[in-house]
Amino acid sequence: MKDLLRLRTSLTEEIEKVLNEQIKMEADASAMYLAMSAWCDRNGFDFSAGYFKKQSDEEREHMLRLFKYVSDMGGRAVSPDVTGVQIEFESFRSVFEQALQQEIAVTQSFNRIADRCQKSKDYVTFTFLQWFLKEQIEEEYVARRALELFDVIGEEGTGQYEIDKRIPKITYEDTYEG
Amino acid sequence: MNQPQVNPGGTVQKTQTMQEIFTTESGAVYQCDKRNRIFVDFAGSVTAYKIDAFLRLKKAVDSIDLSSMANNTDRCSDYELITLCGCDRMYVLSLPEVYNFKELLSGARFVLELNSMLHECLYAQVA
Repeated sequence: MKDLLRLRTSLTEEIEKVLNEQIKMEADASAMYLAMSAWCDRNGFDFSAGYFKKQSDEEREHMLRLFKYVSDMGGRAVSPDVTGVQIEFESFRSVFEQALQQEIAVTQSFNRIADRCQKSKDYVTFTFLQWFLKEQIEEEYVARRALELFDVIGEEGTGQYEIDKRIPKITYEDTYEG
Repeated sequence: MNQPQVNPGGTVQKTQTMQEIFTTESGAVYQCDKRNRIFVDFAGSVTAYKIDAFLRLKKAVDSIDLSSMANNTDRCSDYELITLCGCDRMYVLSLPEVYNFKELLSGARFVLELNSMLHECLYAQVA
């Protein structure tokens, strides 16, 4: 008897499901960053608005990478519905706190997927995930450094203006010296 | 012709390329290796599904909440409509039929997975 399940895809149903959940998570993150960009824009934080717009594009790119992988492997990639995106934020600082929380949640999610891949011996997907796991180091670093500016510079006086100006200059050096 | 035949009465005539993969008192599921299709014999008719559609059908049936069907006194909750995008077949099933359908599809899904595992063990080139 033919193995019809594997004639379709080498992805197991479980892995296909978690990858589709991650596609949705990235789409949600992209929408959230875009909302943050809009909030910053209308509150006069011009540089931060640009920074969050860029982050939004990056999250969408991550989503598309995952989407392509599921499709390429013969799986069923699901274009996710994104609803109920937050519009208002309490403060300039809270926007960055939420951004860091989101990045940490994404890292944890990728860790869980990698764990599932190992348990189900899906080393192809496990290898594919390496790019994302590495990327999360940078994503978390940038989000954490941005939030730290609020303590380093302080929000008093022209503090918020200085923080906003510094945000797009944060870069991650992928060397042991950086 | 070595293809699965469905008799006018709705029963499946088994052929060499068609194998029964799971049967209950209420129905049966067959696999046709020639056409790469799953045949579901249930509620008085036989329907051919691609494997992807079969998995979607199982998901749709699994998502039906039997206890809420049983507890709800509305007449509309006595029956459940099961439709699949891209498939002509629509099931209108009562609660016991949904229960039996779930059992049938779960059993078939298990056998498909078991067959997959056996393939991996038996035909693996590298130990």
